[in-house]
Amino acid sequence: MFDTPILSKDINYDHVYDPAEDTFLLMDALESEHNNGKFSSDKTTISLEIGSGSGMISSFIIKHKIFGKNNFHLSSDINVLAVNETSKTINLNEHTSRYDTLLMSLLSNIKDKSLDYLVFNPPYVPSDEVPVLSSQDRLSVALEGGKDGMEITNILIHQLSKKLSENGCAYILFCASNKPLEYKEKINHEYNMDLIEKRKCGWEVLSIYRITRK
Amino acid sequence: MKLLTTNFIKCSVKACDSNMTSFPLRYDNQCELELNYEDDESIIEKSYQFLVGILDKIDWDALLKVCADLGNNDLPPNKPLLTQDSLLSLNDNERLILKQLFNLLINTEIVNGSMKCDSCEHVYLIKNGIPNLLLPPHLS
Ligand SMILES: C[S@@+](CC[C@H](N)C(=O)[O-])C[C@H]1O[C@@H](n2cnc3c(N)ncnc32)[C@H](O)[C@@H]1O
Ligand SMILES: [Zn+2]
Repeated sequence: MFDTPILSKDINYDHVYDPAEDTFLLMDALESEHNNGKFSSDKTTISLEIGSGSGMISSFIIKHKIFGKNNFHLSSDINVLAVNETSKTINLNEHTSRYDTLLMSLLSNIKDKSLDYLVFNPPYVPSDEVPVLSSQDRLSVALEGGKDGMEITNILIHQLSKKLSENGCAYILFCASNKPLEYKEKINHEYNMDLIEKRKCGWEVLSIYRITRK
Repeated sequence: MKLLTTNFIKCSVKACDSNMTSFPLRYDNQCELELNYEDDESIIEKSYQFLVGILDKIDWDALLKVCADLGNNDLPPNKPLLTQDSLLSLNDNERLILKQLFNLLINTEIVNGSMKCDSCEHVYLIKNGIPNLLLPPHLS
């Protein structure tokens, strides 16, 4: 088992998402895909984690060369405090300059066909609407995903097919109220959606799907 | 923001999506750069494979343009022809090119400054090494 990255002691979890079961499930899914030889070890690849929060998952990807030894990894968040923590966490865990961090929403700034791998633990909890980030409240945007908890994920998946490279793929977390099986049918004309990992966490059932273009 | 990243970032204003001039962004010539040049050949050698793969992926003209914006006109006008096979027998000139690319792409960072979209003129700021690509509500 790959060890879990360390986090700095002074992260303010009132403003940055504290890694939880969802975070760990996504790392486990990436580790098992890595161990199953899903990622070429020599190819030069570009990856992006959207919504990197504390930077735990991005550090895991970089430290354990999940996407191969010739990877360049980008991390983004819409919360500037999360972006700051992400670079701190990456530096704490690995001495490298093959990464970058961006204050950015989803994928609209990314040049078409650029991404070989995309990773996203989105705000997935159902809510009346998608919250707006403010300096008083930076955590609601980490959790609340609007109708069925799917509004953010749905926008992302619409952008995805243009941004992925030829054989690119995305790893995205869903909870049961996101109705992933129904969603899979809905996007079936454009994407394959395969279950990689599933776990009961308290009263939630979380799953990680790999999404590829048809 | 690493120089390599500028090769993957464009304007996100909807109207610019199909406009060729929204990539690459135009970097302000006052941008403050930080250079962490690596001289240790053995470290650079470990990145040869990576660099050759990156060469294949990058848009050379966009890189030339961003470098020119920032006052660097040292790059050859055409993308160097290097393949994984050519790594088996590199000449001095090729080693020099790889070293130059390594230092330029991942060891040169824009720490403060701004970049502008040539299509809609929106200005994005870079602060403490982090580009702010978020759009104000009226544009997003
Ligand atoms: C559930 S948290 C996951 C954080 C971290 N990746 C982890 O697994 O611990 C979701 C993250 O997505 C960010 N986020 C929310 N909306 C976003 C958007 N439109 N674009 C980019 N990031 C977003 C939040 O700020 C938050 O850091
Ligand atoms: Zn624009």
